[in-house]
Amino acid sequence: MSFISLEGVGFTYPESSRAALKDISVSIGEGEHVAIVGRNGSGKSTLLRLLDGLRTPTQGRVEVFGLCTGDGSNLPAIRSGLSLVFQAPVDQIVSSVVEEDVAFGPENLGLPRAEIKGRVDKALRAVGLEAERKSPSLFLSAGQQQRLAIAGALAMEPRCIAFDEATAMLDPEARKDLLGRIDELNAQGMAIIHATHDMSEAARASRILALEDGRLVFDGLPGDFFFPGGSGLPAPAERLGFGLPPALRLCRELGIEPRLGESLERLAARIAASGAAIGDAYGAASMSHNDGASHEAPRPAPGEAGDPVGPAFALEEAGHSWLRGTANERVALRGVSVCLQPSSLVAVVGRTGSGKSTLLQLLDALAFPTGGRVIAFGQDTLAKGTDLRSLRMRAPLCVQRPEAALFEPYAADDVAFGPRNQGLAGKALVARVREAMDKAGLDYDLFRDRGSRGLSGGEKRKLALAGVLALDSEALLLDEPTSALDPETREAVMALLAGHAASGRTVVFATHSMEEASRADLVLVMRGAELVASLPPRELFHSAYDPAWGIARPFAAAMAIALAATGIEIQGQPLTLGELVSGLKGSLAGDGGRAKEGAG
Amino acid sequence: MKDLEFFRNISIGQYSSGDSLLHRLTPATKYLWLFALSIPGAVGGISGVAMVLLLALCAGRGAGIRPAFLLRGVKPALPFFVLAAFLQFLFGWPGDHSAALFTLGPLSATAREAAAVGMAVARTVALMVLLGVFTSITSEGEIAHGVEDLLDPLARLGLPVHRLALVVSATFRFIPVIAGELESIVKAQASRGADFGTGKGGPFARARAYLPLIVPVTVRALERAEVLAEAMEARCYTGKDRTRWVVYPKVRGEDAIRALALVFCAAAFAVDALLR
Amino acid sequence: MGSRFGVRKIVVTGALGAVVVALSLTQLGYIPWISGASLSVLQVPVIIGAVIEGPVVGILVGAIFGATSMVQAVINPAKGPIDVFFVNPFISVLPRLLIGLLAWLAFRLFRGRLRPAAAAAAGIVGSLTNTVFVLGALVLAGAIPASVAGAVLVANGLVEAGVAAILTAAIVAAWGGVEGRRGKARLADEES
Repeated sequence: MSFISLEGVGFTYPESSRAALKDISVSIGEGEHVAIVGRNGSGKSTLLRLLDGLRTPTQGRVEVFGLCTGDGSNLPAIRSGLSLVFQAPVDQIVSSVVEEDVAFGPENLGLPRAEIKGRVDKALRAVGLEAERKSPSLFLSAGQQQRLAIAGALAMEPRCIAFDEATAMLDPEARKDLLGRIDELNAQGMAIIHATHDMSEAARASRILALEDGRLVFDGLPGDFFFPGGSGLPAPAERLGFGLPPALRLCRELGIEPRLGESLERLAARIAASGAAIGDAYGAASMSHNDGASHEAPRPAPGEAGDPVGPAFALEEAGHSWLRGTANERVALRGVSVCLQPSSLVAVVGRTGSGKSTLLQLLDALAFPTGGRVIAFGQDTLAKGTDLRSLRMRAPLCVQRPEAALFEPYAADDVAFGPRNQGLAGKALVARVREAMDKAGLDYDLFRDRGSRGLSGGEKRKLALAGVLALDSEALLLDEPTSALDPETREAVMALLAGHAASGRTVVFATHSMEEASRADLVLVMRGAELVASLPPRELFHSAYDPAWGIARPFAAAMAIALAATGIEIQGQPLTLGELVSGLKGSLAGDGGRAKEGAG
Repeated sequence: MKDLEFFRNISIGQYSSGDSLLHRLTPATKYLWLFALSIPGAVGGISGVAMVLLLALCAGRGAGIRPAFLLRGVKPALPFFVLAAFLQFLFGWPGDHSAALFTLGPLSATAREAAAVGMAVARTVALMVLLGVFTSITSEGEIAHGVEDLLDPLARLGLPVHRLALVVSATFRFIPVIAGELESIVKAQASRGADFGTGKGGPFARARAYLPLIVPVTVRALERAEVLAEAMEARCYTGKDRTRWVVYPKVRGEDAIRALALVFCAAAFAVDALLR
Repeated sequence: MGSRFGVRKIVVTGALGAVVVALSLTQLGYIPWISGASLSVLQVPVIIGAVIEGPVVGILVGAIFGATSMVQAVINPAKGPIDVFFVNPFISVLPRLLIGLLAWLAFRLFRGRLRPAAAAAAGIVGSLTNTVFVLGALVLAGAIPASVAGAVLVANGLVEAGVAAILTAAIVAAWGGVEGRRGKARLADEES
């Protein structure tokens, strides 16, 4: 009897004409750690739903613990042995109280109450939420909520837990915590199935399944997935367009042996050890890396465009408290002073709850300072006589997951909402909508009459972005515009933002990705409602970096620091892999960093 | 609507925890008393309403709730009571032949109109206090589970009453979620130039202005409901053979307290009938 | 209700009930209107529940609507001239139970025809049910005289019904018509 097996499984959603999964045959053994990788809409979530019997295959057969999921009487046994943890933390919480939520599964199994109590206590202890057991579950942080979801799964005493992009909506620190817990559970013998489009996460598994357009296109060891084949073929991960984790990309660029799960320090030591050889190899080798940043059109340095206008935004000791004067008052922003120049790309980073969203809302006059001042385009947002409606349209805010606010049945009408409010009509309106949709990567002629709700996740995000681009505004504010997107769509969105800034607009975006932040002209670091740094990324992530900020460094910067510890100083404070590699080349090719060190 | 305030932390109730006898009653008993008092409060005569008001105030006292807190709604409502009286006196009842009490310009108060206004005000105050006490001593969880306990006799007949309890707790669970959605939708639309609630244009233009708000929030609610349904099924919810983990132990004499509720309800109507 | 009242109906009821609560607490469910009394759209989620998931869901969302306005009348009584009388469940809860039932019947009656038209009909019937029965209960309770109720019915009720019809049809179209529907964006009309 196999643990989990799929035979020739296909699935088509009843409301759709396209198959979500096609001819999948695979089996998974007890205690395995399997990563399922694929883009948005490749069928990862559908596959997990088939395993749990939430959907039954339209072709083929799914067996879990030797039981067929098509037989309804098997479902309790299957679902109590295989638990699911979903992407959105909030969507899987059933009860308003933490411990009652953990008890929900065991209650459904009809277990005796004493047994339920034991399981709830054990599960809460395992995820470290004992202190919160009586708290309202919806007021926990996103990271805590995901731990609560794991506790709910553990209380079922399952043999396998399947995670459906469970880290996508967490900040880097909460993500690290969750990944650590997943490894720990696997070490204790629990089978793990982890659907993700993050290659660094996938590399932690002991086996990788890759889905593309509903088909299983790879099934094998991570090494075989990420390392190039013998005959000079690129690694399957690259061939299939998933890309490599940054450390492996560096190994490939340097022509040294790739290793999985290696710490930066180890990798740095290996690079140092093979030092001069790399330099020689690189003297001849042509650079083939593709870093987004290196392709961007050069743009005039912020504020140097020669226009005499002042800053786009200025905050003077601005503070904000939500629910001011009530018992739930929460200080979201304290004493923030900063000037944002026109024609610049500004990143806002910091942990969840550090004040990023509030800052963006203050800039758009959707919230108002409860202390200090916010000046947008020379207008005080609090001043009497400020026309808020037109002020907001000069710097529209794209909220988190903006696709939730789509409301018109047809795509083009939704994009037209903003320009219509600006008074546009007829041909001018159509031209504006066409331009915005084309810019966002949705061909106007193709997408005009498409139903908004029938679009894929990535397309919906692009449509929502087109909706704000259509305002043709002087500035654009975006709250985590790339969250929960696959790497390819992320790159498209980032290129769009960079291009927009290059055309003379101010673009301010919040992000959890330091790679994205390092592409900005200016990075604002938020911590505990305060602005703790506002610097260009090169300075921020190198000379000025302070670990107390609670943010990581981008890979290239972190690697440069690790290399410096081995004695290899890299010039130019690299932020991208390309810069790191050419910096390394410079240090090693000539004299070799270690040689200098030895002489000194 | 200038300030788009943070909606996520809204709460519907006013529960304040406490350790009084009233707090410790099982939720079913609290519900029972709520119904036993609200029936005469809503449809009974003036003496019944008076009894309800008096008992509710005493109960509030016993639960450590100040009468001023329970009656805080009366003062702001006074103008509306006056307005109600004004409207009643302005427009006569068809076929009202009761004695006129006074006439002032177009206003003429008859005994029947005055009695109607008086009763409406008395009922409102009594029910306000009663609901105030109930919402102060009953937590969200108790409101949800209490439905199940109260309808327990029906469950024995095979009706799935625990699902009703689940509906109530699902509602509580969704309130902050939907409020968050609403906040994000309002902000997304406002920054694209939407203009809620300024009341420009004709009624249909105005209805159209609400499309960008009501349509996505309802669709999002339905979508999120679907996701939660999946999460519940994935955790083995079938609606059958469940254990109930949270139970509320009865206090001493709880059964007698429940019986008293029914006695009081009957007594209120009996007193009404006697004094009529 | 029996076994047909499954997990899906439970959560849809809760979610739509929460929409009513959230729209009510944030005041976003009330459209300012010339008559002084604002137009309510809170009946719309009730009607949607009835149209999409049937009468039981409609009735239960209606009950949540009623309970909300009852509790709101206690906690936050000074919002409008008649709000305070909603502490009486015979005014606030009972009439709201009928919204879902009658809206569902109207939807069934027209169901064979164009779906948006049936949804609009359900919107009108559900909304008028709310107006007529709440006003009726207010008159019976002595809160307002019948002639005032009649005036409100004309000044607010009919417009409210029209608004509810538009919103119900739009939501049913947005929720139901994902694929397979061929149509054109309104913007297409502006291209020439």
